[in-house]
Amino acid sequence: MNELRVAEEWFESKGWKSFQFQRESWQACLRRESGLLNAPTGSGKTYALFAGVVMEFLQAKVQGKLKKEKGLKLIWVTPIRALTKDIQNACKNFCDDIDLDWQIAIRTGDTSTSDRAKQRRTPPDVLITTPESMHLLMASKGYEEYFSTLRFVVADEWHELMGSKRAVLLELALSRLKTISNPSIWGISATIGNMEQAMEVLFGSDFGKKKLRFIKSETKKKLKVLPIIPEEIEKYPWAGHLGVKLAEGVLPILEKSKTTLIFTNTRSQAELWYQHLLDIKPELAGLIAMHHGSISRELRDWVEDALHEGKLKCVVCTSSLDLGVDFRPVETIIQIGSPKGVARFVQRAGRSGHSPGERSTIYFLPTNALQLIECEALKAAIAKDDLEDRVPYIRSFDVLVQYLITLAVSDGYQPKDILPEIQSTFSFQSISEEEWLWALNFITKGGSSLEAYDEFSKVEVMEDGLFKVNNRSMAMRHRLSIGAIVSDSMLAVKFQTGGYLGSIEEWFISKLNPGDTFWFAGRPLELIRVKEMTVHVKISKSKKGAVPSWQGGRMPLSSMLSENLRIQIGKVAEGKFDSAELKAVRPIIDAQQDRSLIPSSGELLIEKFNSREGCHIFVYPFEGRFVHEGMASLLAYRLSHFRPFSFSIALNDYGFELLSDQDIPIEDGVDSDIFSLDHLSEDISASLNQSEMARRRFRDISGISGLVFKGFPGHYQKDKHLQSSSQLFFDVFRDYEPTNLLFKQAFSEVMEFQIEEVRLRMALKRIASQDIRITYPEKPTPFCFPILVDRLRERMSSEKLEDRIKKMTLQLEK
Amino acid sequence: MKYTIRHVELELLPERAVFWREKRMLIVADAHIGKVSHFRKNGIPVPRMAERNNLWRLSGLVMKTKPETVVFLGDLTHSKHNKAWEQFIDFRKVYEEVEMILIKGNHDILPPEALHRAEISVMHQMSVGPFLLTHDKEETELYNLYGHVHPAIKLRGRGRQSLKVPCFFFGENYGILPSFGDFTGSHALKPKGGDTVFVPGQKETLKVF
Repeated sequence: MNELRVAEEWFESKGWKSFQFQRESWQACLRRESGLLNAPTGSGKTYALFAGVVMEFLQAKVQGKLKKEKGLKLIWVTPIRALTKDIQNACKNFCDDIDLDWQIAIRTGDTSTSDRAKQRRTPPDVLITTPESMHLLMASKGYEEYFSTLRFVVADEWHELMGSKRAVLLELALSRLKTISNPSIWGISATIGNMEQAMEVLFGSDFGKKKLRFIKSETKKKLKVLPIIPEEIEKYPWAGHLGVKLAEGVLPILEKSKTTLIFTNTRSQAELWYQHLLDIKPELAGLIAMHHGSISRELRDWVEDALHEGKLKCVVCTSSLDLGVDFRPVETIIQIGSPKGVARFVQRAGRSGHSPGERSTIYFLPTNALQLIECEALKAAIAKDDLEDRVPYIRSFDVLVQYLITLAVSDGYQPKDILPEIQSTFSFQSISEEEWLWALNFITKGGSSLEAYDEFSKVEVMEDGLFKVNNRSMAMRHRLSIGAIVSDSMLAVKFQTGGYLGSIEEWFISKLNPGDTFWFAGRPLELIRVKEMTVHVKISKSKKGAVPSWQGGRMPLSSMLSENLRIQIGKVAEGKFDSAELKAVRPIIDAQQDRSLIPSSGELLIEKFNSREGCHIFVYPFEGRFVHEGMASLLAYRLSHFRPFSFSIALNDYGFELLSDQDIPIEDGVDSDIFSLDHLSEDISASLNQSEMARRRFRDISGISGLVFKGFPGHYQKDKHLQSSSQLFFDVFRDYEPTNLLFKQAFSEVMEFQIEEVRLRMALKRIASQDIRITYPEKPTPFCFPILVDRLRERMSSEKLEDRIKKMTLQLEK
Repeated sequence: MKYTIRHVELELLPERAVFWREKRMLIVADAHIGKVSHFRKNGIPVPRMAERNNLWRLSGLVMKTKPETVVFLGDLTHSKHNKAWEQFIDFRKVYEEVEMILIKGNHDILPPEALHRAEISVMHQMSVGPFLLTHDKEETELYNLYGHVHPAIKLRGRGRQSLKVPCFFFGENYGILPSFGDFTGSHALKPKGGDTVFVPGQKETLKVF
């Protein structure tokens, strides 16, 4: 008998044909195997696993292997809430058609308290949820019983989770579930550079020990990349990241296609583009919408529904629509500005052209002239299948500390039972005895425990050695802060008459006064007042106003994209202008050549000149902003060996600038091998001590580990006495407890993710083999101009505080 | 750094306090003793040493200046009674001969008996010489010295450098002291013509405006 009958017949009844990868997945599920399914969105991956899970259950039931028929059977973890509904529908359809009476429930941050309570009393058969909600379940009493019937866990969009600390949350949750009910585990991932590592991270110590399946879908989508080239490149700005000058060029594209998604990199850019498109083509009113993470869920749902139904001509969006359900009417994608990575660009392109065999079309709109070269680099990278790696987080002690409190909030635990589980995860495979004791000490005694008596109490150690949180308000506070995404303090934006518009960062609102106008959710709003955590507004008559600039969106150019970019720069240095993009950008390249130099692949360009502001040094490694940040600090530190300096540092994805009030002896620096790899680690740590990078990283760490408490929703004032800033904590740990693992974690995260130490080393190695060319341009060059106008600066000083203050007094900030 | 207000010379100490040598009076604002303990009590693990440091610094300051009177310009404590207060009492006993006065601030919610045990007298305001000492700003003919604000100032220099540092801030008829406590935030002020601003450095206090 055909064991896949149920699924095969269902596919037939729908008039579909199952794919090879689906049949393989079904068989693997029937054998209760675990593995990774490598399949893109919209390929039928949901049915590949869900049908398998159902058939395995039916088989076990027939064979009489079920201990209990009721109870939770499958947890489907997805990184984004927007996807849950779609997965639920897919599962429901299948169950309805085969007459299976399964309850399929969603549990996310949006789920109402009453629904949650219902889910607790009678567990659904299938739970679709996020990593955070899984931890919330583990923070409630009797959770082991709840999970005891579990047979499968699916980690959807695993590639997306893997590059974040949310993956660590999932790893920890899985380690617990393996002990409770040993479910089969499946990851679903799009193609990434480090596919094998993706499996290792998901399975932890099972990887290499247990038989794990890797199933790949054979479908590959065709992709067409079209640049939008400014007509008069000479007049197109050298710097900028908005690109609205080219908006006219977008209109014919919108005209031609049924529905277009316009992707921007930041929310403020989305707001601006939305406004601008309406300004230049008022007929779009009602046909254009906006979608980003700060807009209220309801508004976003409305946009998504309207997209499905084909009611919208165009949606301006951010990464909020990168993932998720397919919108069939979408025919065309426009990317505004650098997508920063090949994989992201391909992912976005994939949001168009859904029918099998159909081609995806994506337009690239450069926001400054040099980005045309990036477009050419993207095309080359896509042709070679150069996709980025996702770097997993390891040793995230902030998440570990949070998890250890989570378990203590529910039923409590004996540390000796939990340690082996934690050691089995990829993230904590190298945790030492000492580090483990530190973590336990941290949650019970609050760190250093030199004295016996103290008032600290979070987790209590009971007489039988059980670790437990007994204080109810402490438990409540912990539940509210479960998760690994930390955002700035957000305020709700509401009309005075009622009606929620979305949420906005506190620091933006704090700059405004009542009566001021700002743009939000596509509307000009007048600030009436800020009361507790709510911003009251009304529609403004003024058309001019500030656009909130959300932080984020400052991600670096990926290694794959920058490598391809360097190849293209090398090509134009040899005078090879062999595509429309490169031909178009030629006047800019000529200007650069004229004023300074286009570095060939064997050269590193440094530009030096003086202005009213001081002495400027520009270096162009084309390695992405994070590597540049590290390299800039390193250079600043090494230059300070000549004499004490104060630098301010600016950078973009192409290069960086050191600016000082004194002459910078870069020539001497180059002579004494300032780019050397010798003593690199020591020099980086020395330069980091004085820098702000670790401090910024610490913001998230202190949020995740519960050092900084954001307050109960709606109880803003009341809990203010417990609020503090991560800045203060950072200083306090630096001064009094530098061995604190959370403090140290900030530095290792900086190495791994901020400086990208591995990439920095490789870049320096490359530079060692290059000729260093220093030019002294009289006018700013096309390369340096975008950095020069970037006002976001990092500081670094080796001078004494008193000396700095003495120098600064004359130019007091107005 | 010395600064003269209405013919009285005050010393602005880099330890973030004011010393009036003629009267042997040490003035300290916003020490927030017990803030660390308060956090720890609520399960937020701030290193305890941070608390000790406040007292050590205070102790060092008393040893250095040998005052007859110490005036705390409010927010001496951060919240309810806790271990840190016992430590403060220990410190207090070492300097029995010194008179200590607390101008009550919004955070000073300790019960009178706790303050009594520390032999510290409590006032809402205090006028001495040309000064009215308060926690927050008050309307007065006298020169008003207060704390509460945790004043700081942003400086900017060539090469687009900038810096935010705690400061002593003096207007025409009021002066604001920086907060003494370590584990406290600050609030940036913008000086106008006629204001004078000093910044406590590592070893000396500097005039910046």
